Amino acid sequence: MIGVIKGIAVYFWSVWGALVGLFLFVTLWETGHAVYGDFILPAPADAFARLVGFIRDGSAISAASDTAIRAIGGFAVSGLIGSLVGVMAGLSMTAARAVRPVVTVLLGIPPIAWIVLALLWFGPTGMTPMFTVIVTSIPITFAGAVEGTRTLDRELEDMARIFRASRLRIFVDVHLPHILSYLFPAWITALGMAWKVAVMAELLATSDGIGARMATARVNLDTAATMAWIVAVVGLLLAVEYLVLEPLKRRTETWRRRPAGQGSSAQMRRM
Amino acid sequence: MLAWKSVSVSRMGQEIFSDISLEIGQGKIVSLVGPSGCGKTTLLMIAAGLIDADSGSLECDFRNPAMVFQEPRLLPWKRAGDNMAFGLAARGQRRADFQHRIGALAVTLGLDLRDLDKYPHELSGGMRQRVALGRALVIEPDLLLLDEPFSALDVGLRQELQDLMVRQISDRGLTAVFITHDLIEAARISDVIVVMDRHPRGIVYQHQMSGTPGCRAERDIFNEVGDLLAVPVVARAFGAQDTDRL
Ligand SMILES: Nc1ncnc2c1ncn2[C@@H]1O[C@H](COP(=O)(O)OP(=O)(O)OP(=O)(O)O)[C@@H](O)[C@H]1O
Ligand SMILES: [Mg+2]
Repeated sequence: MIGVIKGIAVYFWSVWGALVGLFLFVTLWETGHAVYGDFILPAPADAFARLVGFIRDGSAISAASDTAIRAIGGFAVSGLIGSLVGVMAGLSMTAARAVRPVVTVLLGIPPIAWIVLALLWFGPTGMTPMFTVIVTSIPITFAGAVEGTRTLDRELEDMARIFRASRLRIFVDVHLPHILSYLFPAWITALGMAWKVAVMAELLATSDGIGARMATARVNLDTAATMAWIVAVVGLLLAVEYLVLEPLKRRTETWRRRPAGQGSSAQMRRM
Repeated sequence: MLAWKSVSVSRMGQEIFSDISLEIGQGKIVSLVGPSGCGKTTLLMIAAGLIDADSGSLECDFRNPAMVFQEPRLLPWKRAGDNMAFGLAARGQRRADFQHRIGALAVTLGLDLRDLDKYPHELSGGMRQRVALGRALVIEPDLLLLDEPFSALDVGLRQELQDLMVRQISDRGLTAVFITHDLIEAARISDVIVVMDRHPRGIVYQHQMSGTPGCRAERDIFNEVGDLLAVPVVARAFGAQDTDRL
């Protein structure tokens, strides 16, 4: 009973903390607006009003769905390829030696260079942002998969073999949960990057999507619209992470040790 | 019968032992004792089929061996009950069929039924060892291989789990090979004590205990260990650096 009350108190405290943080942020923004004026930093209220306007006339939905398809589609492809190749590289020394330099090169090339290349290859189409997202996030998911596979526990595998587990069961029950615990953080990082890269590529390469709308806003010197689109991107990113990835992660990782000296992990994550 | 026949093994180019032979009869509890690094774990791993011998052969009549490791080796992402059922699930048995057996065995091992729903990190060290022991016993093995399963536990709990194990072994008529650092422990629970050493490498002495495991008086145990330590090769195996372990 006391535990439940304490839990509720901790929950409200964490929500309250998050609200304070948000409030502080908006206050800073408002102060900046008061100092620098409408052109440099429009008032938060103006930016939100513009966003509501975009949502009303339908342009926010169409731009956001274009960007979302590119970011999430590219993320899905890179997640699949990076994870699979990473697991194979982790399992085989030879594969690791063959793939590692490729990944190092991929990591070394800045996203902007990929955008230029993609523009030359695909022109101003949706493929340009999608391709850029794929090549920039593959190294991240690859690294997570390699790390997870290389740290597999031989002792647990021996245990499973003694109890006559089949290869399939060893993979599903012993290896996969371990690899997933490395892959999830990598996927979340890759997804966060996918949005930023998609918007950046759109800004330079396409005529639709949130990035393109920001480019238009810049041409029109419309700072309020730019801020409105930034709020839209951040909102989308938070929605995908907290509505899709976090619940998935929480479901698959209930077995994790909770951080010492803190409330339950669920409460920490609700912050 | 379980028999190692002139087995030689080396790992990473270093010879661990050569030409070791040992035979373990049906229904016997055999203790392997000896200083650290003399190859006890390696010998057990060969019996379990986890290491291949370079030469020699292993003869094993047992169809259904189970092993308890020095560490519990539970899957951290599975609840205690599912960990205990790992061997059964691996044999393709369905949950509904073994649920009852797991519960009954857990109670025998002194676990609370609610503990079965906990993840390993939510259990104490002793509870984890009980789960590991349960995982081995629930598949109804005919051969039990135990690698210092209780060495991480405090004395009281250790003795409690030893007694529990000996009772399970004799109730079920199992054959067991049991590694320990502790001669007293070996004398308390086994039929035969096998002493290994590092210099010279290999098995240096075998001792047949009198009486029945688990039913010996403390005084008899101490007397017999005293006699055993009077044998020069045994005294050398448990030389100066190991007296603290006795
Ligand atoms: N994975 C390994 N690779 C190479 N050498 C090993 C490996 N495991 C053990 N050895 C070597 O084999 C020898 C015997 O090891 P083993 O684990 O069988 O000893 P032990 O008698 O079980 O010792 P302890 O009582 O400390 O557990 C040691 O000299 C050790 O260095
Ligand atoms: Mg050992």
